[in-house]
Amino acid sequence: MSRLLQERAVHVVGIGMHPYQFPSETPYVHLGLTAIREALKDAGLQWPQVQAAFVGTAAIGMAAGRVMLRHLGSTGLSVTQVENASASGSSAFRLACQAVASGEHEVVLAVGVDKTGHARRASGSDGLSTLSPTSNLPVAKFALLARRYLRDGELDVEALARVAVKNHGNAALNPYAQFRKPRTLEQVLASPKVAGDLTVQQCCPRGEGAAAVIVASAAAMARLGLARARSPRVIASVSTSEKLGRGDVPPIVDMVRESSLAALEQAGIGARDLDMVELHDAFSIEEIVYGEAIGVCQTGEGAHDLARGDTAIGGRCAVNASGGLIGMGHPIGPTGVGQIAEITRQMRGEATGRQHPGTRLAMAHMIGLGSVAIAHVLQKTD
Amino acid sequence: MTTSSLMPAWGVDHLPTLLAHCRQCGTYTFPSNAWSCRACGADTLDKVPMPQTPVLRNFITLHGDVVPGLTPPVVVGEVEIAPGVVEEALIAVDDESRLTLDMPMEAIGADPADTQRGLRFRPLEAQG
Repeated sequence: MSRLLQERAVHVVGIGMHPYQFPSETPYVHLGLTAIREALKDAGLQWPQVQAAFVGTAAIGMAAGRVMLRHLGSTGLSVTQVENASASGSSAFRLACQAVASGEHEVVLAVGVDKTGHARRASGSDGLSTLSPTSNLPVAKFALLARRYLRDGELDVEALARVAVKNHGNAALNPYAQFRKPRTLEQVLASPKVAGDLTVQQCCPRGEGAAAVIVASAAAMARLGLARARSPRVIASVSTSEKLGRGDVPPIVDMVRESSLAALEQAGIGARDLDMVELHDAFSIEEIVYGEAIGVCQTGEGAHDLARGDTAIGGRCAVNASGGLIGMGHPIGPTGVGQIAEITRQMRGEATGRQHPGTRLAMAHMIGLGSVAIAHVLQKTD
Repeated sequence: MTTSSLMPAWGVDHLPTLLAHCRQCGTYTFPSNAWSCRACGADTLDKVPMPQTPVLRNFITLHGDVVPGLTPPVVVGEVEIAPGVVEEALIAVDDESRLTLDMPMEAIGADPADTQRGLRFRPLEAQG
């Protein structure tokens, strides 16, 4: 993928969203079409110009893409559904980039759309029993990780809660976010405890929504008259999965470190070159440990950097300027695509009210059920 | 938790064959009916008991009602049951103040009122 992205530039030319929201009776088709139509309008493209679509979803069901996309017109485009747990949207975006970078297509849609409640996890169907009924429960896993982090760093619970304060504050400025209320440290700490030191306001909500991005080759942009300055270039795309643990480092942290390092190497930059990162903060502790694993913060410094404002909008490297999964929401399929939309918006200088100044290099990093990782690096185009 | 010949509800009867030991690379895998070695993928596995006294490596209390049939508060720990094998397990204590890191544990059976879960762990000192 690294060679392909260097040889044939891939740009994000259009973005669109349906706001993330609490579960409703709204059909998924409406959610998805809203995001796609917005992305087409943003790019200045017509639907027949899109040659392929990758649809990230985890819970809607078989062949959701064609059912939704036919309402835009039956153009005969290639349609592929992608399921990779929380990384479904990121994987759809990666495949869209590959389709352009490989030269197979010139204009490709990646759309994430999801409703809650229908997803089934394969981990319960592998024919094996766990020792504890909590073994496949993310909140227990991350509460244990949080306890370890706080203990090793001799930190108090406020270190975790500050993630939620920052991200709820960012989300309050994001019209596409599921939560639109800023929260104080006292409110976050006083919300009901779920597991260990994690309170409700430090956990992402269940929800639904949609996000769409359109990617195109440089040649297609020139031919179609699309504006380069509004179209960040994708300069790295990496996909990995978890390895066996080594020593005291949790395997998921190793996975984030290796995937992000590979993406940074592919991009030819260092972690400290990143101006912003959108990452998988389903639980507050994740933002801190993944920020360290990516290299935005030094190991053991994530909570301190957060407290100093280094990862806030306007800080050294804005982490989850969108509000992240905790504030913006985590409807699963759309989440990774929504990260790309946020980065694009920031690079264009169009993130009104939550603009991180001077965003030129950014990473989107997602994890799927704690076992797969997808990383992308985008660069502002002048 | 569903039970079948492939998915036993782990109980004290299973302790002699709780883990799998790989003849190829020596790695321990849980559970013993795993399809292959988690390290090298070999299917030459022997069913063995825990090769060490289990050790508590981490713990929290689950406060929310997040697992059907599991009434909070419940203490959940990470227990090392073999070299390199750390599994989440229910810890049979009323509250986590009785626990310390790296304390030796012992496996015990289910609460008589709790037929869904087989093995739990408690501090070794609590026996008798």
